[in-house]
Amino acid sequence: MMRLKEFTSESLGEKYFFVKHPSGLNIYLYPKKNYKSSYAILGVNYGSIDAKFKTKSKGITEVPSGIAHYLEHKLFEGEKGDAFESYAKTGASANAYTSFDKTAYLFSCSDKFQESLEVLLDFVQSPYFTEKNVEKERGIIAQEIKMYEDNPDWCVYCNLLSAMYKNHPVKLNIAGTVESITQITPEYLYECYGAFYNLNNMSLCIAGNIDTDETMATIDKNLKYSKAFDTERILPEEPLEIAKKEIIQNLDIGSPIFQLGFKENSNNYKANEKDLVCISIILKTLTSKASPMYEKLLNLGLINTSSFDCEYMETPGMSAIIFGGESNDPYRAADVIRDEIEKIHINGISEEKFNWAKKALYGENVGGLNSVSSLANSLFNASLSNREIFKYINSICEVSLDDVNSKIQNILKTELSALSIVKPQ
Amino acid sequence: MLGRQNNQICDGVNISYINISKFKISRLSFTVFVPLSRETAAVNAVLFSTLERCCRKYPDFSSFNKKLEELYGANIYSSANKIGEAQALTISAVCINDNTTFDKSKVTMAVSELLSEIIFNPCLEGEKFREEDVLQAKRQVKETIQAEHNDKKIYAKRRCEELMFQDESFGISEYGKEEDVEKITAGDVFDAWENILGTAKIEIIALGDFDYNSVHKLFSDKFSEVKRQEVQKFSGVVKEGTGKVREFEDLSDVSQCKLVLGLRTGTKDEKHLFATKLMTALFGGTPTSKLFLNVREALSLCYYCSANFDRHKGVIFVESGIEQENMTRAKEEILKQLDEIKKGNFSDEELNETKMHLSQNLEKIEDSLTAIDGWYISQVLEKKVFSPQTYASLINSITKNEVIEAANNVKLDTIYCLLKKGV
Repeated sequence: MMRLKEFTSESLGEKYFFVKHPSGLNIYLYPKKNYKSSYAILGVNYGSIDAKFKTKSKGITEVPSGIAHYLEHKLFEGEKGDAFESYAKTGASANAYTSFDKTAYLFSCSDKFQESLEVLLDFVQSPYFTEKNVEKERGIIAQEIKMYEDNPDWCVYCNLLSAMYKNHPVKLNIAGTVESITQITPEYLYECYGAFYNLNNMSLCIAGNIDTDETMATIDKNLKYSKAFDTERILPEEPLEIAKKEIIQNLDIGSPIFQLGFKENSNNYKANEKDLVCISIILKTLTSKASPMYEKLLNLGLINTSSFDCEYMETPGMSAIIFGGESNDPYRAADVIRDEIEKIHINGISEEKFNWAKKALYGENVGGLNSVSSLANSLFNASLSNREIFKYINSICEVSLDDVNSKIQNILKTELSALSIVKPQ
Repeated sequence: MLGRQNNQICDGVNISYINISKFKISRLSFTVFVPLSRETAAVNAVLFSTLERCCRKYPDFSSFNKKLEELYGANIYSSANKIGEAQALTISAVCINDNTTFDKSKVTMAVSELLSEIIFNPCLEGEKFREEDVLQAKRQVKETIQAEHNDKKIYAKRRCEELMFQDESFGISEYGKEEDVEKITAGDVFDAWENILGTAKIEIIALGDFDYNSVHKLFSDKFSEVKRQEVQKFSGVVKEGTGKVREFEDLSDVSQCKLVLGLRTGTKDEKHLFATKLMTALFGGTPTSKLFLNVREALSLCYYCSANFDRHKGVIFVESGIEQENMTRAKEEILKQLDEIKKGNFSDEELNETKMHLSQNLEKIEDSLTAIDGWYISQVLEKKVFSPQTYASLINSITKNEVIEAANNVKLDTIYCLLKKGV
């Protein structure tokens, strides 16, 4: 039996297990007592930004954009049938998603967990692409792309990334375009599958009502060992400057929306737990409903409580901080945000704000430990970013005001910000 | 099994508690139920948006929210829903449990008190709410209504609902109409507040790890100062389909057209309700349903095509996003699949798989406080309250014939299309 490494948070009375399986697969198991349901996610360190890569045998390969997402759709179909049909027999609810740097397959259930896990492990490891089944998917994916073309939240986000990045492929749409997907063939799909779907490049994260021994036995029995993993991501050089300051699109919508993004200097750098805590605290002091900036934006009628938000995003070769929401005057909203950021660059964050922001961030993260889906997803994201979830929570308790104030100096540079607006026609 | 403790505070006001120790968070919700009407929908929505801003003890937005952040980022927010022909307005509070804080502070009780403060001790100026609070709240509700137009899936469903039920109160939005929001005064909001506290049916639900006796006493004390009058009555209308189909369309500058079908189920009794729920899932509620397998997978016409049953109103909505030229084909295929069920063209295996899917989803409710809360709120106006387990066992007892019978009672009523401009 493989030895599982235990990660614990004594103060919260929580624990999970990790093992690097001999096949190369990272396995995380988080049993939750008294829960009825379980959630499993099997993900690959591969997404839409990986349309150019290098392998030892073939050298550099370039494929049409949108292929990772197309592959995600097509994996559900196997030689013996559709994975959804197999899940129908176990009663699980299954889904999948593709992001810039990840592709993930997941299910949740309250019964027959081991059977559903077998379905998951089986179909993700059994590619079956034919001219016919690849052709069939084109219409479906084209409709998915068109659905997103009408979604202003998605448009404002994609436009912002295209304004901030000159070369990095986050500026391209995850699903590709109706045009680019016409070039996708079974051969391309097999090539990308072979390059990235390697257990050494994947993680399996499970949380909920599970027995660890039984689950490990199921996993062990159902893994097909991969060859050595030698695929390298190829990302273009990205200069620090933004591509353009502003981007505007008109859509037939009811209220204008905006995003103000700050490009961060982070080539090939991933934030560690403490960095991430500092950034989160800074963003809380800026955008919490208790913050002066939020109150100012609200009182001036520039944002509303149902949509204003901010996020830190990170994929290989880039990271950014994005503020946004619905606004009747995006330019003024952006000015207020930039002004407040200038202020904290000069004055830093006060101890009072630091204290409530720290408590709020802690509460938010304790809240995240209650749902099996958010647990498994956090483990998966942490796994691909080399972070550990309890270390992150501990860092919240340990971080000091000085840590946070010195972090401010390196982030949120006004000259690296871009504004994206989608407005009614 | 969830053990639920129930107490009546006064006529029409109920409080209940489920002690659940597996979570590190707790949740308290305060929901009022009033008949949905054009005259009151907007002002009620504005009232709740005003209440969530602050209270007399923390009289401005920032100080109130700072207090919440100090309570480990506790969250207090309002929401509006439509349950059959009732407008349900909720203020919910979520916080971490006392034993998970750094300093073992009494977060759950402090948050319960804050929730009661914003409801019973809002910032008033005589017999009016403060102008600036109402102005902000009106803007929030107006922008929520405007933003529905941003999401075409939501917008198309809303338009279908509005048009299909233009002669029934179910056609009214839970936020009211934008022009009605515009006219509301600070005095109107005060009247709505007094009226709701005095006459609405009210349900308070505490879930997690509360000192229930104290929470119970807190709200009993507050209500002892309220002059309760006769509780407003609800009359849910479930109409049978007539077989007459109405068609509506709007034009918009969109990439993808939307199709929404509204079908009446004429739900009669409990058995029929469960059979219709199961039938709808078989029809379009899972990735192996008739609609998914045929409209999406076999014909590649769309990315989504699904059916949902609103048991309170006895209506099924089928929603899809498609190319304009495929509209007719999609419509025909959707109705053909319904006919297949009417004729009994589905296997026992398909039916059992659908039952299993629904049962598992019902069982999952117990693993989320938000889901448990929503589950019980949605049943406050019902004669009988089911636990998720009982609900699942009733679905499992439905026979193939009952599903066929339920399908045969379904009648297409309204076809709504959101089409491309200039085509």
